Amino acid sequence: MDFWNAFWFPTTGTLNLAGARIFVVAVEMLWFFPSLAFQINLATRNAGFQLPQPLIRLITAVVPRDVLFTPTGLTAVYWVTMAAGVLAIVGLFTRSALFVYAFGYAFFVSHAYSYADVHHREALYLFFVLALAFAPSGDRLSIDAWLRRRRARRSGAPAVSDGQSDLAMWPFRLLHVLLAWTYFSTGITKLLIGGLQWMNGYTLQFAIFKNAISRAAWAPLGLWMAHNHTLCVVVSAATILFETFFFVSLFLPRLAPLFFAGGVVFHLMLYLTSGHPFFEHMILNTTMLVFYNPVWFPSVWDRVTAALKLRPADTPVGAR
Amino acid sequence: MSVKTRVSLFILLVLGLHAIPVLFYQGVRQTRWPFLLWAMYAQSTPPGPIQALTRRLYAVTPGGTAREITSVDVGLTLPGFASNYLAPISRGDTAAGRWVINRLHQVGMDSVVQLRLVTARSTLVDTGIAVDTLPVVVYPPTLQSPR
Repeated sequence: MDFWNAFWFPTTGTLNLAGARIFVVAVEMLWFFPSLAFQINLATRNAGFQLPQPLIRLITAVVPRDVLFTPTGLTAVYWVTMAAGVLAIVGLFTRSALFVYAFGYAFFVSHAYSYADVHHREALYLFFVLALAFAPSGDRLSIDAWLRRRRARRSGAPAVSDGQSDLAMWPFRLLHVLLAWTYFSTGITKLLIGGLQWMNGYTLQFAIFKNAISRAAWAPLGLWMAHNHTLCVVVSAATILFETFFFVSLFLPRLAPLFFAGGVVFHLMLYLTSGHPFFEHMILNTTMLVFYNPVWFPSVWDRVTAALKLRPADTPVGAR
Repeated sequence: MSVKTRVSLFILLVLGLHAIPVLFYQGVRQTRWPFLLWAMYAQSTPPGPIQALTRRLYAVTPGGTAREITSVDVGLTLPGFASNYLAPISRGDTAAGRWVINRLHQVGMDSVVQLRLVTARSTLVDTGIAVDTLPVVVYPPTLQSPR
């Protein structure tokens, strides 16, 4: 139990959690959120679901398909989700907003994957946003925090929070464990099913070429890389090593930033060579790179706020 | 129940449920999102020519007018359309062809009477990419009257 608490619940600052909250919600909403037009097209051109996902089965057990899965119904859910996302970013009713945003996100992804086609890229993002909803992610950098401080000042009460919590680290730990599990799963299945032949270069050449040839407009590197057999051998081996040994970062925290940076590069190259849109994994690896270390981001934040004179002159470094 | 206990149960639930797709394998047609088996691109490719197929489906009217049909037209995702219908049609699967025609009729393209699948095969060669066209697959083989 001591080990469990030491791993999941160390006391740390809540600034990192707040930063992560703003970053993951804002970036996804701005660039990568499921398209409403695409969702409406799926719903209107299909009379029913082909392989309904659990959330869709749960919803349609209560609300008929022809009530909710219509242009009007989907548009309503979409804008409620967008509103919740904005509230989550600015930190008003933060945790409730995060929960509603996570539910809306899960709704649209589940819907898209209920027509005989399922992909993986959104799953970990959902888990992290849900974890943020159950953690003190609105304790800093939020309207909620400002309102709490204002109420405390007016009533003469002491500051309601010192910006420290033993519940601030576990969302990052959960994401770290999930990233390690999913990367290990993809890596080990390549070795178990494909064997060492997976690193023969031909496997990667074929995988890249197959995708790049149909996506030449946005996979410019892919066609070039598919021609380079030796490079594909090297990259294949690097892929196996990265995926299979990512979990080592759980036990050697000093190496973790290397793996997170590697994850960003890995998914960026997957997109540039093969068009695989694992944007959420780029977001999550970047989040871990910037916000996981409990010291780095707060020190940068303190320097920035001091330089911009956003912090009172008598406030010690590291405090609010 | 303390907050830490509730959070711990949530953590165990999320991690534990990831065992289900491993223990109860569903293949590619997974129905437990977001708890999925992560085993993408696991197959290896033996040494040999690197080739890829690009398929384009055309809907044909009795007058011979042809229009390319995309995944958006039939209300599917691109990978879902390709793997569940284009690939089977290329293998002569009449059920897949019938489904597409019925779907096009449902979405207002009543005049469609035939599908033509054009497949281009691209092969990596030292000087670039060589492209040739495989035989066109037609469904149905003979034209029917429009609905």
